Amino acid sequence: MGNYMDEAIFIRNAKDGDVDAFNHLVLTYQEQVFNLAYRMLNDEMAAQDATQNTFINVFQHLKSFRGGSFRAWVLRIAANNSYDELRRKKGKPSQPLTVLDAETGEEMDDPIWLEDNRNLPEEYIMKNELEEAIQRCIDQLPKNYRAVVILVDIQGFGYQEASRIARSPIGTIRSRLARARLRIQECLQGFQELLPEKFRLNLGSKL
Amino acid sequence: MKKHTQLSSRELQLLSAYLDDELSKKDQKRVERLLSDHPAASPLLKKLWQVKSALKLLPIHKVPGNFTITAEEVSRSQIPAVAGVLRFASAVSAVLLAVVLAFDFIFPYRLAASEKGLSRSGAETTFEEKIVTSAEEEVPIITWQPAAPPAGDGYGIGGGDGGTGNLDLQNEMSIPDVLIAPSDDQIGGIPSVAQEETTAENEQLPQVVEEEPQADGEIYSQESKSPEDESGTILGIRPSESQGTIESFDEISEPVAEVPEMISTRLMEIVLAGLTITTALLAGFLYKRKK
Repeated sequence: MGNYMDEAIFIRNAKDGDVDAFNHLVLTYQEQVFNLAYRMLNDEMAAQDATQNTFINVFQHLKSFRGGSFRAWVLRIAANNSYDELRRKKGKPSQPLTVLDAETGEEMDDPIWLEDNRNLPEEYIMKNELEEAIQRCIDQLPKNYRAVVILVDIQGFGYQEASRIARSPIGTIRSRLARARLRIQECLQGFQELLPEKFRLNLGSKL
Repeated sequence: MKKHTQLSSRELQLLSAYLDDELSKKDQKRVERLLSDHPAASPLLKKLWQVKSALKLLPIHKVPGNFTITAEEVSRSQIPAVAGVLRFASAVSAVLLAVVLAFDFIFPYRLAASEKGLSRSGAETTFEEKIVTSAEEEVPIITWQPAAPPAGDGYGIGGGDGGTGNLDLQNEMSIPDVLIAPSDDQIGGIPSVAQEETTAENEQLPQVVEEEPQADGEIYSQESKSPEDESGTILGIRPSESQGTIESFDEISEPVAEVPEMISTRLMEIVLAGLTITTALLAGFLYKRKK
């Protein structure tokens, strides 16, 4: 209750142009905004840009905030900025970093100086690879499905709040989430060995 | 137990929401029934649970730095007010253009008529309007009253009887020669029996005689007509005094305002389209530059 009251005061002061009050709100929500953008874009630099743009947009349009869930409003702007960033990325595909072997002159698949995992525990490496595999499956989803999966399954929002953030009815959220989960399950079939024993998906789809 | 192994899209959604505990009591019971009845329901629920659990393994990333903003950053990224004005102007001109185009294409006649009413007084009528007006009026009956010469006295140019002057009157009369018509002088000197007969017929049908047909493109003067002419006016036959002369159609070319009106409508559409595009491009450029 106290936090909610504080938030209302910060919002009111920020509406009057108080940047310091607004920065309190930034500190509260920056992690959620950054993680949403990061999972949507799978690119840290682009996620940072999207997060910064989100908070600038929030400050500029704060007068149009008419109450309700401030977090949902901020995350909606973050999702829209991430969509814009995705469109920009699509328009300008980045050049993959390729390294040529000095001796053979051939392209190196896994340059050892870029990622040296030899001294890291096996569990850590497995965890990283699993994260990469899941992220790759998320990247293959349509952007609307992607946002819902990130909001509900990764960030832990309920259907009600996800529907407010995505500005879609709960029925749409439920449908997108079910389809997205099924697609991820099909995608993860190719990464069975990375998944922990209890998450192995050894059953074929019946749908 | 259900025979089929396929689950519907609705059942998939129910199973997925069941995992998240986002179902009403009624739907929860429905899912529990589905799980006991349908052989494919339980494995699918397990797969959905595995995906949900795997996604939960993804870590929450720490922010690389604070995203707090400064007053300079805000003012730097502020989109100039003129961009908003341009965007509004673009929207307004687009709406106006749509309205004008809609009236132009859906109600072209109404628009043209209203423009005519606005731009021209009632006294000024165009040649085209005359045609429309006369077409709306009752069409007069036009009688052909040939001033037929007595048998054997041919008239006119040519004749086709070998120059004897003997005409096949029956055939000659069946083809009204509108272009080469007898002049009053040619007919006047000969007391025409046919003319007298026709006059008698006209007395029986007074309404036909009274309603003298007026050709829309009438180019000869009414004043030049003699009383005798009135009984034998034929559409398209010029009076004797005007025969053999070429009259320019400039006389009937009254001021026609159609072309300027069309131009003004088109001009308005072009100006609005240009305004819409220009303002939209400028506003888009300003927004893009700030982003």
